[in-house]
Amino acid sequence: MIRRTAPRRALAFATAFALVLLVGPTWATSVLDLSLARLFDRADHVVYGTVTEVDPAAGDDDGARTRITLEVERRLRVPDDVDDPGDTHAFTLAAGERDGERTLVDDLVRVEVGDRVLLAQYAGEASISPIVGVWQGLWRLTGDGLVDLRGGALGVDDDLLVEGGEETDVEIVLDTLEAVLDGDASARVSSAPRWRSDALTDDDLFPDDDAPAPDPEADASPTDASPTDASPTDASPTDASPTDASPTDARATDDGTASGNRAAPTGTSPTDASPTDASPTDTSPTDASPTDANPTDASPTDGSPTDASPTDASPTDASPTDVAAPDAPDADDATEVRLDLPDDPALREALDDAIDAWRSVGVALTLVDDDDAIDRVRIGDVDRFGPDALAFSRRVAGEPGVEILVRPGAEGRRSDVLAYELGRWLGLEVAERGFRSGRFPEDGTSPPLASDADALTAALASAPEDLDGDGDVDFYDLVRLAAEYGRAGTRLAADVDGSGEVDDADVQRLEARYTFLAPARTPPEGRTSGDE
Amino acid sequence: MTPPTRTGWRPRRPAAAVWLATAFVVAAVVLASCADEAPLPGDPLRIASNDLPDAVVGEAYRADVVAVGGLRPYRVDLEEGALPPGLSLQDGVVVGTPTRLGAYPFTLVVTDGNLASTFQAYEIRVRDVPVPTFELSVPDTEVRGETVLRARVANARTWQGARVRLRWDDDAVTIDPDAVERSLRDGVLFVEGGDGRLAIDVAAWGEGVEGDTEVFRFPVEAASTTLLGFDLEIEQLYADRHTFASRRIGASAEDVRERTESPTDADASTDATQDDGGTP
Repeated sequence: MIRRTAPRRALAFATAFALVLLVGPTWATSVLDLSLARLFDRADHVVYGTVTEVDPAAGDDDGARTRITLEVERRLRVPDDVDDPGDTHAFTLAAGERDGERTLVDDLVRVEVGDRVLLAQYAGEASISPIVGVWQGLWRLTGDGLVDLRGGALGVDDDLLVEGGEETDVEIVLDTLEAVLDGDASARVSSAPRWRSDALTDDDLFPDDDAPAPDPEADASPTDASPTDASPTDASPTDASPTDASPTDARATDDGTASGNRAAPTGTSPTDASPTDASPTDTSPTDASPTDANPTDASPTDGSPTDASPTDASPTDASPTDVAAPDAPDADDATEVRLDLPDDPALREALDDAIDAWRSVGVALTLVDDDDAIDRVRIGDVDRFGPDALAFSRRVAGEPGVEILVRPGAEGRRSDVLAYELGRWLGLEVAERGFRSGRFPEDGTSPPLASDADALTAALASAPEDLDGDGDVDFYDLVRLAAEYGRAGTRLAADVDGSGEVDDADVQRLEARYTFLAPARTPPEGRTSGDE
Repeated sequence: MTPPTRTGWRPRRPAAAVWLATAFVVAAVVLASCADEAPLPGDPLRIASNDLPDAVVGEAYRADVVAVGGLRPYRVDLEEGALPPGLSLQDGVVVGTPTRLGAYPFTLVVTDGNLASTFQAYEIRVRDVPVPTFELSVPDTEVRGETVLRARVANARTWQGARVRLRWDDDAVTIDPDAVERSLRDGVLFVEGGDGRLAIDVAAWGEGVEGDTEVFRFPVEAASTTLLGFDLEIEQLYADRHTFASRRIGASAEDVRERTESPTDADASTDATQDDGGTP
């Protein structure tokens, strides 16, 4: 017998707008990875201060906007054309509340009134986020020092400003940064790329035992370019470029395949399609018919795996002699990616390349263009992206579903970005570094690797209610859901039913699969033991 | 004979005299006790803070270093050692959020306007986040009929939830799982049970619970006079930490067995009384 007491919604509404922009701990915005040196070099404003106001209803007819105001404690850089910057600093983000509805964009910064933040910002208000690197240029002061959205802490090692430095005292960090911005030769800032670092092991990069081992005398491996090792001269982006861990080398040879006909997470699984489960947003023709979810419906022109042989799917720089190609995933096991796509041949080609990139590491996906699908891919106005954003996932007020907004232009990394965005759409967990970080190198490519394929396969195999992916829907999943209760976003892990909010409906979904397991004596992953 | 009356003078009542004397004594004692905090002009510079309080890792910390005497303004500097990582000295206040456990000895020097200086050695111990206390209000007296038990967590820091398992002698008492009620204002509770066991999983919304709060409550029904005792297993998640405990709450299983009247005994006792009363 399972019984649940009715959860209260008061907290959800009381805190909903205290959290700026209402995004959760998942991310699906793709950005250029910026070294700290590049990041501060690009910034028009560098400000340290305390958040005094957060107004999520600062939008106008052009859409929702949230205005954030700081009381400035230290102004480290001011644009040349600003004579008197004053004691306050404000900027806006293109998300928030308008006419009672909310526009949500993943990966925008989260701050609350009272937070002390360091901000590196572009001048101008046209883009969705004026923060340099979308989110990379904002750090909140925490117990661990100044920490960015992904937990990267600013620190100082021997007058070198780095991510993860030993000295994290905020005054020392700011003094060092100020010296760097003033051109003081005694202080330096790391120019090492941050997207790929020691989080990747040889197993990630060389998953095949038969594959050629890396030559230690060859180009510096990504681990050589760790932020702590990097100086402006010895760890240039070139030295640690992603080409050192080329997609060719990194291709998996494992035969991991997708776990069956898992439908899109917006509600196309057989259970989701039941009349009782169908929410208003779940009732599109796409979702309603179980037969729609059959991948055999996908025509070859939709980009089904039959269009893309493993050899077709290999990255352009993958030579057949480098590694054996993974076993071709069975087309019948392909997971359907059903989206409303624009009529743009270049984007279609990039999407097909993204599907092929997953296929080449053993995950069979089938892209289905469905005009009635509520989730969609669109090409955005370049002004909305600023210099560093490559794609945004968002929910727009008044429109159903999730919109993956892709930067216009045909940069070579577009297929990588789409592979990431589609993976996230299917439930891929985010990682701090590498492909799953959503940070993409300015030069070179970053396709999914074998470890990413494993992560996506696991995500596809696990029940949506199994939030921690350990195979059980239990107490730990309940705690995870409770922690996110009341939040809204485009891809929140705890948003089991994909409604955009973590609410009572998600609690009920969890309850339906809940198992009462015995209390654990050892801490779960990610927690330390506090012995009684 | 009536005593002569002096114009302009009225004798004080004895109560007022006592009050004045008492006030004088109290004032003298207070002044004496405050002598440390209220130095007189010309007193030498010294540091009045002998110790600084312990800190908890990850929690904001603030402690004033109080100097007295000498000539203001004072200046406080670190002379030797190091403050715990995350803490800094700002205008005579140790402030910040410690990031590492451990004991950190250091010496501060206070300099006054006359450039006189004095030293004080300190040690700040940075402790781990304390384990929240889970309490179940089991009475230590015998009970009969319905008794409501309340489960509380105390000294909680971002307490996120607990899974609680209770076992008891179901010959002695009955607990209806449907009657388990969540007291936690913002959270969710799942419960399952029967046959002398109860599984309760409870989680708090958002950032979690701070301080002391009641989490859930449930009625216990004892058909006859008995002691209450439970075998408890509990796992709690708080502040990125985990704790597990297994213990007995209330009376031991043996005491419960020994001190529990069986319903038959109770009935027999009643019958016997009636029989006794009916015996001529």
